Amino acid sequence: MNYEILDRIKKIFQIYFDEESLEVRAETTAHDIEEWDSLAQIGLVLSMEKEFNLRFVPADIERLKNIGEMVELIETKSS
Amino acid sequence: MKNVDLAYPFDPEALCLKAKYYLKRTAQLDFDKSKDQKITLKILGGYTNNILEDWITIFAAELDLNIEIVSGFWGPGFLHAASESHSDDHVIYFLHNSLRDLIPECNAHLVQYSVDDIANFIEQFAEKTTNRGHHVIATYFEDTCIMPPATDIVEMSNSKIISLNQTLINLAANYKNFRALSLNNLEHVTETKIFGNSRDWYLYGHCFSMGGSVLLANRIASQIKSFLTGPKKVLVVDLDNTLWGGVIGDDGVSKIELGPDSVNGRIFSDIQSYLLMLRSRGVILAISSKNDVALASEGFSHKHSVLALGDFAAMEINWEAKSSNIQKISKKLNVGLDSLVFIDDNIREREEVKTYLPEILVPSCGENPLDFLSVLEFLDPFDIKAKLTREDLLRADSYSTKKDRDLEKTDSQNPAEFLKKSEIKIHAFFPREEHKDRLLQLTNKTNQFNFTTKRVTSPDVDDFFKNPKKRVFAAEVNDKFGSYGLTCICYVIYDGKKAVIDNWLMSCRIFSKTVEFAVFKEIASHLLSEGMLEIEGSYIPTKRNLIIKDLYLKLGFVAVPDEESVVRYIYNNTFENIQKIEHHCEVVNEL
Repeated sequence: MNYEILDRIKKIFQIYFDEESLEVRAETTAHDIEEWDSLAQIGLVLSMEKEFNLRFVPADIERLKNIGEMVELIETKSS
Repeated sequence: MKNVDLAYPFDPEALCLKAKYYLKRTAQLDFDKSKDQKITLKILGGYTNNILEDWITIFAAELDLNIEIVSGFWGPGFLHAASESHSDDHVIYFLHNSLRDLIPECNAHLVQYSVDDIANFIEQFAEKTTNRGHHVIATYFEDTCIMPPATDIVEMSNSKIISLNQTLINLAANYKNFRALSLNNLEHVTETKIFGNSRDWYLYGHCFSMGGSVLLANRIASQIKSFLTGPKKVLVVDLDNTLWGGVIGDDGVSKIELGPDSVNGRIFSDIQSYLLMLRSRGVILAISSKNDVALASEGFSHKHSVLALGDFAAMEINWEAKSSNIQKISKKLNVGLDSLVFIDDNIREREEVKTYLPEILVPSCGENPLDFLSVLEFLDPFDIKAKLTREDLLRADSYSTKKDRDLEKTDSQNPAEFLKKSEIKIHAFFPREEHKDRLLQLTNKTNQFNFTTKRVTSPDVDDFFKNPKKRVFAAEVNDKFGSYGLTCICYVIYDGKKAVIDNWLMSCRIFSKTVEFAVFKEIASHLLSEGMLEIEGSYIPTKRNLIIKDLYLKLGFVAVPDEESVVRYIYNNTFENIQKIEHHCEVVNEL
């Protein structure tokens, strides 16, 4: 697990949901964060694309099951 | 605006990243929802609209609008159902007309209908909903969102679309409550992509981009606000670096930038042309500038000046604080501060005005002259696509001539003498169908000379036209300086031998000229000649109609006790006594 990427994702989540103490772990899914709805999904994807300067394809986003997989995807895409 | 980040111009994409934060803030805003009129916004589109809806919620709260959003589908059946539904609420429809819906692969149940059929459905929908007092914001068929791969958009645009969009143009020209919205133009003005990308389409069924949803939501919320409270009326502008480039006091008229010879010159010429267009649509122009009057006025003698000094109805050119100058302008024009927009390139001036006069719309247009136009076009505070009445077209001229009148007035020592010299003419008549838009407009936006502030819908006016127990009187006014158009309305309900004035209102531009006495004299004489024995009028006080508090008494009415919030007056006078009412107007009576 690339903790540097996880940490940056965590910051994005905290800003997006306007909650400084929000915990984001590798196993966190949309079910764990009450406000993680479709609006949030799009905003989060956009934020991550900006933060990591990359672009996801639709299938990438659809496949993701949790934050851990997001970290791996970003790592693969950035390398 | 309660939240400065949400005042346009903003970066729509940056706002998106904080959508949840703003939604939370909106939910915490504790404006009294029960007090404000509830509005239902029905989106007829059929796309995934939750981002758009969330942002409409956010912007609507900023504008103190109590809105409930309902999403529905686009199509003949849905249009028909919507136009037949009788709702007590005020409904505003956002009709998202999309090219996709005209393609059989996308909307199978439309295959049986021709373009003419669809135009008919939309026409019927527009007629029925607006007649019921509802409002419609309809997009043109022009999207560049994701189409089935084999679609030839160019071919479509050249066949089906032209006539459909012409239908929308016609509807907007015919119905005061109908606006056609061009998303391509929104894209052009904001330089932001409004339609979404293919990924978001395939993933979520979104047809608008994130930023596009934010901008469109802002546009829809602002348009709704305009529908409910009426557009702004006055544009107050600075001069140096706002109407021309450079400082005229330093550079002199020959050095200011205006006209085709420089980049800035071309931009400022376009700004001036835009203002002239606004003026032709009835927007009143005014100047607030820290300058020497003589030097500043020279700017309008520049060979490329589009605007003339006479296009402005009020001018405050001096070195005093702009907030106090703008207050003077508002008083001089007799227009409330909340109807003013102020454009200035200087942030200090903008902040000074915003601080002392928070009711005024002061867009943060920056120092870049290019932004002045895009901000005005995007915010559209003057609702420039609205159907115009004849009075709108005359307004700017009548205000400019009012300036002449005020000058003469100060010269003349005796006000009665001045009024006589003004040659005020009144034409009293029964309004007809062709005057309906103006009746609705004046009745629903007049606050000062308005006895009961009862608003009317289109069917209400129809009732006054047709019902033998009801009658509406109107008067057109002009004087030697120009025409004011239809500026006086009186709604009367017959109750046996008593005529009850349901409401009586006049434009703020014509009272205190004894027009009210002349008009009452004609109406009262007419009612008596019809066999009425008494006339009843009531005054429902509001914050803004104090000016007419004692008018019924002055006309010879007697106050009678009634419930607390209403003052009722009875008039029972002889024909001879009515003839004694004095005024300074010449009257043409067609009653």
